[in-house]
Amino acid sequence: MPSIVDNDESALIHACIAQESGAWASFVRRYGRLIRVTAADLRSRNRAYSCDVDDLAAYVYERLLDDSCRRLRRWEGRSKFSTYLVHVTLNLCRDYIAKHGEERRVERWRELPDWLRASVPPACELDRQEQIEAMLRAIKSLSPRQAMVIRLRSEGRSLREISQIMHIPEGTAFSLSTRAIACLRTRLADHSFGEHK
Amino acid sequence: MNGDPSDPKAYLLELALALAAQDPIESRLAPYQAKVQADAGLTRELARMMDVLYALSQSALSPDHTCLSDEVLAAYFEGGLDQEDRAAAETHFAECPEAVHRLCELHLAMKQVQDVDEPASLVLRLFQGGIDFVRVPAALFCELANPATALLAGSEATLPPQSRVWHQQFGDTKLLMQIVHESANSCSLAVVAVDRCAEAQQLTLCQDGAIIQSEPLTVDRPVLFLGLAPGRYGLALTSHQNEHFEIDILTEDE
Repeated sequence: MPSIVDNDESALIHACIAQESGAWASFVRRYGRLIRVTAADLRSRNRAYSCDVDDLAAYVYERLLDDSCRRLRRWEGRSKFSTYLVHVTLNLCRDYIAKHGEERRVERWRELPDWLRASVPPACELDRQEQIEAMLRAIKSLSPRQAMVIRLRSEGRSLREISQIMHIPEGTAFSLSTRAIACLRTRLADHSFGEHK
Repeated sequence: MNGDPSDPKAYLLELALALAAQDPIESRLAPYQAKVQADAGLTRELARMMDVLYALSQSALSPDHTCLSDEVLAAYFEGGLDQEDRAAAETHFAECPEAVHRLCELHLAMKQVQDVDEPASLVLRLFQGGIDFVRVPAALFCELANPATALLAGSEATLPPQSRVWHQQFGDTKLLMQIVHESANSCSLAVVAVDRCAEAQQLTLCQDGAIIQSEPLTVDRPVLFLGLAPGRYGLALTSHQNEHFEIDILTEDE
């Protein structure tokens, strides 16, 4: 398989790992904006506005240098470095936000229509865990791709986004989703999701 | 949960997934949504279904769980894994809400990043590959002064809708410029020489007399001015004959 790694990119990463003079400055010039945009995006999606984007970016640089650039050394060229870096930046920023007490996934209930939001049950109800386990068992009975589609949908991703994420046509995503839903419907036929036990 | 297709209960899961994704409700589901909405018991059941799906996406993993490596996840996202590794990754995603969550976050982040990078790569492609292979609807090039842009008409690829491309003459040097509104408060400008580029030309962006950024103009890569706030800027090309013009970057509502 031909390498997807740009030679310049690879050379720069290796120069950073070897701590060559000027390499880190080039790294910051080349990827600084990518890191900032990624950090700012995550901060905004997590509504962690008390975390400054500069602090997040500085934390990312600090961690990238940790342990003789361990995170850079882990990149072996299977993906583009920029994609890998975005992923690592997201992980690091999430850690930073969690450490500063700001972690909260966006409450999707906030986006629900009023008629439905009022019915959202409290998380402490006793039968909730049982229903979650029933759903888990039902999802395990699906094929991996069907289960992945259901997991992505329960993360709030649309079929179009799922088709992009899984590199499949939108029609295939639709078909996987429809079959998975039909299967779950059968498996969950004996479970009520509405009433207290 | 009911398996009878004529019963609105049979559609609760689909409704829950559509509402979680904030997808528009399909017309075939709309009557069932109306029935669910009109019935307090069904509404509770739908809310409970969504609650369970939400809890699933956050369910804790066992301590000995080994997630996908950062690089494998990034390679899956790019579609760069071979069939065997891809299937293994998908089996993992089917069981690991954390990996799915990270994949979704990567997808959302890359959308932002690609939106930022796209104009630069477009200008590069325009210049390096020759204009005729970049297929863009002609309407988007309405501001291009060069009649050769007619070559671009009649095909399907698109520029970001909030972008503009035009030619700018600086003395003897013709520049291709693209501006993209990334948001209401931020734009990026990419500049590349088109037909002539004298040695030692310097492109300088100024605002209120202060230099924002100054870069040598080269023939093979665009000069990028990223993250510009709305305002009036001066763009100067310094060479044997100095040229200068003003560029206004406006907010969307202006």
